[in-house]
Amino acid sequence: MNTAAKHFTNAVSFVAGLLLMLFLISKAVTPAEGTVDNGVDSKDANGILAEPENSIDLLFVGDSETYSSVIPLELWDKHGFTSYCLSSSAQKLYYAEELIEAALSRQRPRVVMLETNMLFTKFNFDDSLLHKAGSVLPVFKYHDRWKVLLDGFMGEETDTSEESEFKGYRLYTKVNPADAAGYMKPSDQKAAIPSRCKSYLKEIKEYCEERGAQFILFSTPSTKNASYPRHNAITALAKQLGIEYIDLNTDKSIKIDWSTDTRDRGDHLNYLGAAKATKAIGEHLAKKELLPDHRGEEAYSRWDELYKVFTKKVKKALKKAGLS
Amino acid sequence: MERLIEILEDIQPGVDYENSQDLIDGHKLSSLSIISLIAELEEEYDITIPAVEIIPDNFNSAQRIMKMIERLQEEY
Amino acid sequence: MQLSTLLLGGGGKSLTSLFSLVYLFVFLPGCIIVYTALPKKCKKYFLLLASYAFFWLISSSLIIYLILTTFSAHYFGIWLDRIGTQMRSHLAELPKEERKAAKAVCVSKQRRVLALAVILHIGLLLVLKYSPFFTTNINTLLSKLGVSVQLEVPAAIMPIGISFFTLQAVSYVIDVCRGVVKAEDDLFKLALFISFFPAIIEGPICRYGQTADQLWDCDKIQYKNLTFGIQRILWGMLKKVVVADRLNNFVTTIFDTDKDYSYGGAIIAIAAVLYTVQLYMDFSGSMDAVIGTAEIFGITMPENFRMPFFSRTISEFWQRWHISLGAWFKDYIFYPVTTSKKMKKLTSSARKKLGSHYGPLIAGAVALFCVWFCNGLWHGSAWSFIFFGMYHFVLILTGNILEPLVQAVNKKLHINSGWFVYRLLQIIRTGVLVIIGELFFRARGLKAGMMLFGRIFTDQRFEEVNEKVFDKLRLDTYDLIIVGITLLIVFTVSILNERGVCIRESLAKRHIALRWAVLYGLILFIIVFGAYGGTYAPVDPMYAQF
Repeated sequence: MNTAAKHFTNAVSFVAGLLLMLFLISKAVTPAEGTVDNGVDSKDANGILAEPENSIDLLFVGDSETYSSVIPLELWDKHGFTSYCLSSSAQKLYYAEELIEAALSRQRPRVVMLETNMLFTKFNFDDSLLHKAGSVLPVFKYHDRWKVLLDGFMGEETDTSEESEFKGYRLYTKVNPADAAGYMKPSDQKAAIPSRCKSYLKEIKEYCEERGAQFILFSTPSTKNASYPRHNAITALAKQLGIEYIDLNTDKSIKIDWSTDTRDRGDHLNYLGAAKATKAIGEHLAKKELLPDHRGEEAYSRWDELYKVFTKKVKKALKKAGLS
Repeated sequence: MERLIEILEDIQPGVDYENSQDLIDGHKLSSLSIISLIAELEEEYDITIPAVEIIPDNFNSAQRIMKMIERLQEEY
Repeated sequence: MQLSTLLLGGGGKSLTSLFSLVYLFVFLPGCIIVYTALPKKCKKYFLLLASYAFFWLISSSLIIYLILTTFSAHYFGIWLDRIGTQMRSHLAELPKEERKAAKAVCVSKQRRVLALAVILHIGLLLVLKYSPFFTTNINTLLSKLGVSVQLEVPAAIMPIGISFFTLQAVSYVIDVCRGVVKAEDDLFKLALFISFFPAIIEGPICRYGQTADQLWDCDKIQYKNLTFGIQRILWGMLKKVVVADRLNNFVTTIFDTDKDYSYGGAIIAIAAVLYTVQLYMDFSGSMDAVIGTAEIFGITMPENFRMPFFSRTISEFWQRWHISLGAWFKDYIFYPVTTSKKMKKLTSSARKKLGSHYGPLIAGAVALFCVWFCNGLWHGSAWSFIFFGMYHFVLILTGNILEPLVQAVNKKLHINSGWFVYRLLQIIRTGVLVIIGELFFRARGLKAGMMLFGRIFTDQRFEEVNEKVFDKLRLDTYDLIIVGITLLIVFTVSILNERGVCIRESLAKRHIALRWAVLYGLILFIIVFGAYGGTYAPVDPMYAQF
C-alpha cells in the first residue's frame, strides 16, 4: 500500500471512529423523550412536552416579546381556548422551527401564531449549521447536559418533567415607563428582513399548513421594537406569502398606557400591558371562530385549577408592586 | 576587543561578555544598555549605527558587536 | 441569495472568527482541496485569490483599502530601491573622499520618500480609524470654548484588519529603505504577503523577510503539515471554545450590561481576572488557528505569545504578549527614536553626568513614551486605550527608575533575586498590574473604567462571592471546574513547550493507538465541554476590531 492510500484510510477510519463516539455520547446526553429538559435553556418552551397529547389548539411562537405579552390562561378564562407560548429569550427562527416541530409531534394545533420580532433577529450560517448538526448528532445540542448527568451521579435530584404553570407566560409586574414620543411615527419606508429569516419563515409556514394549522403573524406592542418601517416590511412579506398579519401596534383599541404597562422602558410589556394585548388577540381569534371553546369539559378541568392559581399569584404580585 | 569589553562592563556590569553568545536573546543586555552602548560605540569608533543594525544577530555576543563595528568602519 | 449573505448571515461575524464552522468546514477545506488539485505554479496565485475572496467576504467593498495599500507599498518599495541602486553605482564612480557627502544627499532623499510613504499609509489608517474619535473630541473642545460650530461626526468605515495589514505594509517599505529586504517587483507576491487570509484579521504582524518567500514558494501539502496544522487549530479551539466563551457571560455582565454597577468590588475584581484570562485564551487561541492554518500550507509564522504570565516585569510581559506588535514598535519606533542624532548626543552627555543607568533613560523615556502612546492609540480610538498605553508607559518607566534602588535594597537585605519566592512574588505583582491594565482596556470608556476600579476598593462586598451570585452570572461550579482543568492542561503544555519539548513531535513518534486516543480526547473534550449553543454567547474575535 502506498503512503497516500495509507494516509487516506487512516483519515477515514479516524473520522469514522469519531462519529461512532459522538453517536454514543449523543445517546448518553439526550434527555428521555417527552420530558422537559433542564440541561437546555428554554424550560418554559419545552414545557409543551408535558402537556397532554392533542390538548393545545393554539401555539404562540416567539422571543421574549411573546412570553411577556401573551397570557394563555386569560385566553382560557375568556374564550376557553387552549394555547401555549413556545417562547424563549432572544429566540431565533431556526429554534422556532425546531420548537414547532417538537410541539407538533404531540399536538395538533389549529392555529400557529408567530411573533414578528424574530424576523429581524439576525443569525448566521454557523448558528443554523450547528443546529442542523444537532439534529443529526444530538450531542451538539445537548452537550451541556453533562452538568445534569453529573448532578444525577452525585445523587442530586433532577426534575425532568414539569409543566409550565402559566403555559409559557412569564409574570412581570415591574413598571419602568417608556418614552412613547416617537412610537409608531408614520413612515413609508420599509425595514429590511434578512433573506435567511425569510426562507425560514416560508419553511415554517409550509410545515404548519401541511399539518393542518393556520399560520398567522402577529406583532406585540413595543416602543423599542415596533415601527412603521417594520410594519410595512412585514405587511408586504405577509401579502407575498399569503399569510394573515395582526399588528397590535397599529390597533388603536388596545390602548397601551406606556407610563404603566411596560417593565423596561417600552421593550417588553408587564402584566398590565400583557392583559390588554391578550384581550385583543382573544377577541380577534374569537371573531374568526377558528378555535373551539373547551370550558366545562371534564378533560380540561386542569386549566380551571391553573387559572385559579394564576389569578391568586397575579393579585399577590400586583399588591407587592403597589399596582392594585 | 578589550576596549569593547571594557565599554560593556562600564555600561552594565555583571555579565560574562567574553563568553556569552545570547546577550539579546537571553535578555542579558537591557534595551537601555543598548541605547548607551550605541552612543558609546559611535563616539569610540567614529561610526554611525543606524536603527536597522539593532538586531539580535549584531549584538548577541562581543565578537558579533566587534564584527559589526568593523563592517561599519569599512563602509563609506 | 448572495454568496456573502449565505456565508456571513446577519451579524457578519461568522467568517471573522477562524473558529467558525463556516471557516473550518467550508472555507478552509475548500481551499485545501482546490490548492491540492492545482499545479504547483498556480498554487501561489490561488492562495492570493483565496485571501482576497476571504477579505471580500468579511469587508466587501472596503477591500479597496487593501488594494490601495498594496499598490502603494509596491510602488514605494521600487522607488526606494531605485534610489539605493543609483546611489551605489554613483558612489562607485566617485573618489573615496567625496563619497561620504554624496551618500548623505542620497540618504536624505531616501528618507524623504520613506517619510511620504509612511505618512500616506499611517494617514489612511488614521483617517479611517480615528476620524470619528477626533471629530467628537474637537466638537467637545469647541463647545467648551463656546464656539457653536460643530463638525459632522463621520461614520466609521474601518475595514477589518487594517491595523494589521497597514503595519505589515509599512514595515516592508521601511525594510526596503533600510536595505534589509530587496524591493519586490512582483506585485502579486507582495499582495499575498500583505493579505494572507488567516493572518489578516488578527495578525501576527509578519515581516516581509519572515513569510513572503515561504508564501510564494508554496508546494503541495504534506501529510505531516496537515495533521500538525489541524492539531494546532484544535488546540486553539480548546482555549477559545471551552474557556474564553465560557467566561463571556460573566465578563460581559460586569463590563457591559450592568450599567448601574449593582455588583460589588469583589465580583468586579474577579471579573477583571476572568477577563484577562479570557483575552489571553481568545487571542492566543486565535493565533493557534492562524499559525495552524499556515502550517497546513507549509508556512511557518512567527509566534505571538510566549507564556506571558510568567513574566517578572511589565517590560518582560510585553516581550511575551502580542510579541509581533511589541517587536514592530521596538524596531520601527523605539530604536529609531533613541538612535536619532539628537538623542544619541543626549545619551552620551547625560551618561557622563548621570551614570550608566539614568543616562540613557532620558532618551529611553522619550522613545518609550512614543511607543506607548502609539500602542494605546493602535488598540482603539478612545481615551481608555490611550490611558492603557500611558499606564504601561508609567509602569515600565517607574520600573527602570527604581531598578538601582531595588538592587541596592536587595543587596543590603541579602535578598537573592534568583530566589524562588522572590521570583514568584515578582510574577504575581506583574500579573496584578497587567490585570488592572486590562480592566481599563475592557471597560466601556475611561469613566466606566475608573468607576469599576474605584469600587474594588470602596465597595468590596465579599459576601457576594458565593455560588448563588456565580450561578446568576452563569458561571456555576461545574463551569469553574472545567475552566480550571483546561487552564491546567494549557499551563502544563506551555511549560513543556518552554522547556523545548514539542508535544506534537513526541506524540507523532508514539503508537497510533495513543496518538488517536489523545486526539479523540481533545476533540470530544471540546465538543462536550465547549461553551456553544444554548444560552452561551461566543466572544467575537477581540483583536479583529483593532
